[in-house]
Amino acid sequence: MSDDHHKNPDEKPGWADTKGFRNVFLGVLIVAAVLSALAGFVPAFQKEKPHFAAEGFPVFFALWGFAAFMFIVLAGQHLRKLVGRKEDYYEERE
Amino acid sequence: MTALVDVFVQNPAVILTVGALITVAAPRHLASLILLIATALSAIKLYTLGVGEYGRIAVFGETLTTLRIDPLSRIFAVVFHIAAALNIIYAWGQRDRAQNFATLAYPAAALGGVLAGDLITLFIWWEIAAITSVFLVWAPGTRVTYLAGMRYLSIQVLSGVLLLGGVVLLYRETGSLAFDFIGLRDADGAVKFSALIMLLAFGIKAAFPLLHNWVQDAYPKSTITGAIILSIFTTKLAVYSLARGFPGQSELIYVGAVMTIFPIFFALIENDLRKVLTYSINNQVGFMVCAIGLGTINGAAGYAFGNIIFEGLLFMALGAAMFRTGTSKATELGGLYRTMPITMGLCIIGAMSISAFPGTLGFVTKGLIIDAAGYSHLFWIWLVLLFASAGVLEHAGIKIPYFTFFAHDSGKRPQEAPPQMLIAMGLAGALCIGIGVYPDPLYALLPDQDAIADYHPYSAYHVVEQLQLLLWAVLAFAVLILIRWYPPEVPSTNLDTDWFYRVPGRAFGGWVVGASGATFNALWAIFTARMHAIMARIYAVHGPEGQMAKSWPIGFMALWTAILLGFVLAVAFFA
Repeated sequence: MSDDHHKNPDEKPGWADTKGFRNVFLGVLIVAAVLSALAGFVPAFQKEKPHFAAEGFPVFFALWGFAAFMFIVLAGQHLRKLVGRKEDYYEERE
Repeated sequence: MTALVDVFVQNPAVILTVGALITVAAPRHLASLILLIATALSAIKLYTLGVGEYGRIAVFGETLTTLRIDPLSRIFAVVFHIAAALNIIYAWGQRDRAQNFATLAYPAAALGGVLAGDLITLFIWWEIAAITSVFLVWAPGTRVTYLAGMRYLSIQVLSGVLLLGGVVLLYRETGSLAFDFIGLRDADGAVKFSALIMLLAFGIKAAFPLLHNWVQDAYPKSTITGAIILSIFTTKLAVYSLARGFPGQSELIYVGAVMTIFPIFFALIENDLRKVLTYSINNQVGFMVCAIGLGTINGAAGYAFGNIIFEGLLFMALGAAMFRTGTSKATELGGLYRTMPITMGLCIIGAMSISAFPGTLGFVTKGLIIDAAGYSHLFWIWLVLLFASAGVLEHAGIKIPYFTFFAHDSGKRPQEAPPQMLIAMGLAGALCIGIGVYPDPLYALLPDQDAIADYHPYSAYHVVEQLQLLLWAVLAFAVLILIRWYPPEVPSTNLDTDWFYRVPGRAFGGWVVGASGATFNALWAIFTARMHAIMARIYAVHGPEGQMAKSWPIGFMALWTAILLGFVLAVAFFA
């Protein structure tokens, strides 16, 4: 079933581990994110009858997505202090 | 008798069940073929029957409708068939008889429940689903899975008992066993006890908040194929039941909103990626429950359809990685993209779909729910659903593919997934993209055709809004990685609500058993001591050495016996 191998020191880095790929990926991501934010300012891309005032703000979804993700990761990781136990916690008790 | 046979023969769920039973006796190498043929026959039967009510039988003066195909049950039945077929292909060649049986018997039970037109038929399939699915939890055959299976079975049976109790109470109130709209309140606005009991029964299976942890406890402990099958049917049967019985009940909006939020945080800190996906199930079912509360049955049914495909694809991709490496832990995976590029690509399709990127199945179904919150002018619920969408991207859209195939290099260089797994994942991926690009066939299956007629998922603002939300969330992830603020994965067990019954509950149960045993032993000791004392006293008085024995010699007894017999003879002679 398992046919893994240990790391080979002579092995070339995979395509996703190269600096070039990371830079391209990051560049494409930034450009796409900025374009999506700019698209929010185009009247043709705006909702005619928004349900809420927030929807009328051109970059609301960009800001909310960014803030929500940041909050989930930065606040959520502290949950581990409250509920985290060692891996065999239940095995020891059952 | 013939009519009864007809009732069973025409039910697609019975066809699947018979297929599952045949595999128990058939040669093992034919099992997958038999399962696939049974699934095809069941699908053909479903198609040829068409919309209608069938299989009516009279029991104790009540008419049961064992088979009802209407637009709501049909969409669930269709996706259950697709999921069953994909699972059979994924597990092609599996030799374990118990697992092969459960691979189809469990979906059959869920299908039977979805197609049930009355509450008694629903209850029967509900319980069969509980019993058949536990074989998948037990399949690894360890003490840990045995205990998890027992806990799982207890909770599932509890749900069934509550359902039966609710059915009885409802029948007493309405005099009907039909499975239609139940509603939480009566005409005066008071909460109906019967409805509350049924909602609780459905809520356990749907994994409502605080009732959710059986999913994390049982599913990740199953086998690779078992976890995929388990992830699909039970919770979706519950979603269907809620959509049938409690549409538009505003309480469900808030229950669903909570369900979409809290699993996100548990998923963030979880190291076992299969467990991450079980938290994802809670989150995804939360969207569906919210949709039911909002009254958009199209949203609930459409998203259930989509989720079964793309969540299944994520489970399959992770299962393939686990099959090749023997682990599903983030700390032990990473770097698999080098040797499992096809699995990685399909996993990313599943991840993009569950995140609802435009062009995917998730996009054309999730929008129905978020739009409904907008149309209901529930600003905070709308905001929560958007927040939860960013959370889905974090744990299912990024964490699963990133920690499995990229992140730190684990040094593992496994082979690509086996062909049968690639075929199943490829088909699921094709559905994710195909329906995402051309959703009309799915929309044609939705229950409320009037509502869907005006819905256009690819309106410019919808695409822009969704791209803003997702791309900027991905950007946040990139920033956190670059500045090294994204928390590292840590091997750990995270306590959840199951802690209450696994640690203090178990200790209390042990104490109750011990105390009951000690009390019984003490009472038994007192009883036996008293009995010994009484017997000793009787023996002392009436025994051979006792006072009574001394005062009643044998000759005296013989004399009195002779006198008595003489008296009886005299009476008999003169009378």
